[in-house]
Amino acid sequence: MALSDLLVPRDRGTIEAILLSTLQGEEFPVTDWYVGGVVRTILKMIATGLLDRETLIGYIAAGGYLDLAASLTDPSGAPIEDWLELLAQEQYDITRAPATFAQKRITLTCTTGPGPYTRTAGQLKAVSQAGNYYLNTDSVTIPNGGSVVATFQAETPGAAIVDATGTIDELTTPLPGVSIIDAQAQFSTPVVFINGTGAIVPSASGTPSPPRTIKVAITQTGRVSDASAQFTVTVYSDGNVYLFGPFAMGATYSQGDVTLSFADGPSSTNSFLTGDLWYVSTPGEPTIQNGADQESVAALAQRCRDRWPALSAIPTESRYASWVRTASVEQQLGINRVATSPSITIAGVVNIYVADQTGTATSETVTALQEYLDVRASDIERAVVASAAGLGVTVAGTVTVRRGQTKAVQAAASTAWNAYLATVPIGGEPPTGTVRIGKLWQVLMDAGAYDATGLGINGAAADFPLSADQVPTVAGPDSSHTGTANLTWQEVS
Amino acid sequence: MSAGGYEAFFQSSQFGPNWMHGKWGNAYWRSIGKVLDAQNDLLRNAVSARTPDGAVALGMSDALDRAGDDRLLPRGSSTPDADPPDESDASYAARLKSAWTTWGQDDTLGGGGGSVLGILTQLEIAGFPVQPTPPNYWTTGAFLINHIGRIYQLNTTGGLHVVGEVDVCANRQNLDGSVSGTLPGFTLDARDQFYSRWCLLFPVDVPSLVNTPCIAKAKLNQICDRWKSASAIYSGAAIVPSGNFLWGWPTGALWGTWRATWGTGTSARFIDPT
Repeated sequence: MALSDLLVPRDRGTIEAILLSTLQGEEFPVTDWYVGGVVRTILKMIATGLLDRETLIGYIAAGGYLDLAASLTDPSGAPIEDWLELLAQEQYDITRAPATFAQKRITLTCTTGPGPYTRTAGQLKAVSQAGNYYLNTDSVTIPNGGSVVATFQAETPGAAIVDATGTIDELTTPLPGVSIIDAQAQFSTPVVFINGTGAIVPSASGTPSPPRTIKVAITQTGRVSDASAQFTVTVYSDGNVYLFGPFAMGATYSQGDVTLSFADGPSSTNSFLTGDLWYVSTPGEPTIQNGADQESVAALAQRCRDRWPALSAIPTESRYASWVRTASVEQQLGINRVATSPSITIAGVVNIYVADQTGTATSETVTALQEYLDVRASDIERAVVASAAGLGVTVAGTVTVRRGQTKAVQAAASTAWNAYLATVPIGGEPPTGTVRIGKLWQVLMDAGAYDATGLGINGAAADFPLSADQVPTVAGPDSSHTGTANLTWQEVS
Repeated sequence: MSAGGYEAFFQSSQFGPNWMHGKWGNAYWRSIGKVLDAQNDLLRNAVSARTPDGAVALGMSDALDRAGDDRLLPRGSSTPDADPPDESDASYAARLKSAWTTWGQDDTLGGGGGSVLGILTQLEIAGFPVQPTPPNYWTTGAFLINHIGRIYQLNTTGGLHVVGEVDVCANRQNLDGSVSGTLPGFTLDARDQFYSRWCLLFPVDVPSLVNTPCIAKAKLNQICDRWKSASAIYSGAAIVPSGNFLWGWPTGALWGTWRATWGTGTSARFIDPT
């Protein structure tokens, strides 16, 4: 017997035949029992009950293996995902990641007169031009004649909540004299791991360029006042890493057009301690993190497999990918794609590109992942995290549908196409590293199209190649492409 | 239900009134019980197959293969091109049971993911001629060589033998950029201090391993990619059987860029890493 024999349940007719055969072995005159008679009907009842057990045997057999458990379906074809969740939990100690919420940094400004206003978490609701709602996550006080930046979280989880910068501009819980906007800031909120009492503040005139993440690492305990503290600066920019220092700490340090100001804490203590870390990204995008759907079964199975390379003290590429996936789940970052490769320009460096379902990753997410890896990489090896480069994918062609079905087919095709783009690996689908035009065909036909002609992706009637750091972006208000809307639709009777 | 299963239980006095236990009654329920018991066996098998020993006992080779997929340990082979792989179920099950020390580290031998020993051991399991045959240590087995000239091979007990250094690499630079002409090395990269690269060298022919899509090449590259450390760059493998030579590795050029003319006149060949 093979495992595969257990995976496919025998049908009721087969079970009934086995029952009859066994009874015949006991000298029952089974050939005299006619269909519809009492005995055959009772046997059919028993066979029907046993059929459920047959299905259960298949589930139990498949439930012991990641890929089989991930592909289980019920008789109607609907996915059964709890067997894999059970396997992941019980055998790998991994819990499936739930859907996460998009978070935005929104500036609230009050004219002089009606303020100040203080509202607790959840009392303010903002709405975007696309109709998505956000609630403030913490208590916020809007000063009279001033402004404050507060964090808002989408009311609904998932990757479908996408709003372009500058489009969350209305409070549905209005306050007289208060206006809101999700504007780009000079800097992200610094990620601070400072155990001393000191502080670091970034500043710049205008928006710093190029976009980058700056990391300060304290390499010698001390203070600013006597320049006893020392630090290094690491700059991550466009997938490259640059290391500066160590420097004796003065009041300020200039990194290009960004100035970092260092300040001591109480005079009797060392303000900065060896090992302290501080990160900031510029510019500070209003999107703190994009929302993500519930972890797919394929991603969950991959995280389970990741446990094996994780046993080694020497990190493999899959170990780094595992760290990223784990950090993403623990911190609800929504990363669903990771690509790792050894640097071909700097020995001992591992390049890591990440993307969430929208096709990129926010600077806050990249910073969080960088910090996660920095404390885990060995002394002789380090990783550089960067967002994958989102690439707009525009499709073209003429799609023919039956009369009256255009809207339904458009909606189904758009959903399926975006779902596909959201899972294309960084660098494209293996082995050729492309966005496949064949998938566009499949999506349209599965959605109910009658025919399609002249299909193309980004101007070519062929698979569209991606570079190693590229990933297609999913259609949304702030995307440069439009899902399947660019297709020409026509109806036939 | 009794320990004897449904067949025994349905015929026992615990089940049903006396009129059910006549000759035909017992025969009927015995039959139903047999079918139920057979199905219960399948239920037990479905659970038992999950363990390597259970799968072996049931003769479920495909269950072992599934478990191997989950543990990232495919079935081994006697030759690199065996299709399907021909490692016995018993041997494979034993390896699957020791996945923790295979991926982690063996207390005695070391190794694990990301290690040289891990790579060479997995190649050996996949059927590549990695193990040297004493006393011909330089002409049998396989060598893993890194850019700075360290050579490794398996020893006869499955551990790692650090052979030492290769000969002097005339053009290898010191860290200050000067060329002493005395440093050992193996120029895998024009940048002489770019230490991340490594390669494999087979001093015996591996006939099934050719530089076109084939099972042996796919296995080789998958193992190297999966088991190498993250920052290490696998540069490829060279097969240089006895009587052939690998000579005049070009100064300032990547190995791969030379492959069109490299090895001309010999049967040495290069297997690229992709």
